[in-house]
Amino acid sequence: MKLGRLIGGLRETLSGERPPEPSRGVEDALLFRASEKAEHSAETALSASQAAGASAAQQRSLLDAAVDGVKLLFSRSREARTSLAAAREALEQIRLTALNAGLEGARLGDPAGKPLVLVAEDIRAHAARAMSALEQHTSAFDQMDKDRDKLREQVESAQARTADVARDILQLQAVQRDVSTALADVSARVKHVTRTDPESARMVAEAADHARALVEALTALAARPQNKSLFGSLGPTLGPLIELMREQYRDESDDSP
Amino acid sequence: MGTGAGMIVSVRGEPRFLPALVVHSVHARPRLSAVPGSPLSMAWVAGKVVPVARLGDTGPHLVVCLSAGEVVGLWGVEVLDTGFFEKGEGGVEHSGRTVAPLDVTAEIEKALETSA
Repeated sequence: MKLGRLIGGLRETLSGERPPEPSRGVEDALLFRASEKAEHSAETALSASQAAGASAAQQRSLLDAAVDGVKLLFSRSREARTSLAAAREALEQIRLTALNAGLEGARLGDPAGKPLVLVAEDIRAHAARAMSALEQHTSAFDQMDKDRDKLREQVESAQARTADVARDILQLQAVQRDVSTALADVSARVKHVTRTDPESARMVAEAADHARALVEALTALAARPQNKSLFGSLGPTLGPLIELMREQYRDESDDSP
Repeated sequence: MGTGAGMIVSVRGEPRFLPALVVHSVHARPRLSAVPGSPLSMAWVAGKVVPVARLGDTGPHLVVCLSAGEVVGLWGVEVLDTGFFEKGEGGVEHSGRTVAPLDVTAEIEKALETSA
């Protein structure tokens, strides 16, 4: 009897006719399948957002590590600047020593003090080159400080945005859980209201899909010239289907009071 | 013309020649302490207290000189060069120009007048 109703629904789909009181067989099956699909999609979306949440948490920890790295750069830079200052002080002292040595050489007079003056000049020239290199290092450090400040701003901004994303994902997950619960409820109610056996509903929905496709193909075939011979060639294939439909018709007529 | 032994210092942006026999030593610019009642200052230089006259504000060195038999520091100058320099008209030759000698006594008097 139930199968008869379902096949009746199929027949309606094939014929395209709508009886005065439509049987809900196929529609119920399609509704059941749609609600199942929606429930499944909601679960998939929830899983995806949970994975996104995990990725956001991972990204956040990576950004925290990046912030720590930037802080470490700050402390390394301070250490390097301290060494640079010590080197500069030492060079200043070397220059002063060379000036005093040159002065001593000058005091000794020419030629006795000449070698001392020349050595002092040489040392001053080397010290001046070293000082120039130190100035370049200092300029490079100044530029690095600016770059590091910019980097810190960018990383902190990314950190804040990641926190926003993580919060949004949490809200999304909450909403998706609600949607999943609501859809599970809808599925249960659809099942209860339609009294549909899930397995049969799936089969009916699948048969309805095939039936619709068959009707569309046959309609297209009917529009072709020499359609009779074409339809005739389908006889061996469609015959069993027609026979099955007839039997179901007969069964339904026998069952009806 | 011969050579002049000594050093070239920059005083208020102008190079001046200091003979080696006048100069005792060169030091990094030390901190100065005021001497109450005097326009001069004093500084701790190589373990000794030295009276100091300010010649400028920007020079990085203190040059300790002998002036009228007294040790005095010239503060706020920059030593540019030391050694032997060709003597020229009115001074010595340095970097293609004639550099006039620095009159230490006059500079100290000037510093005293400015401070007063």
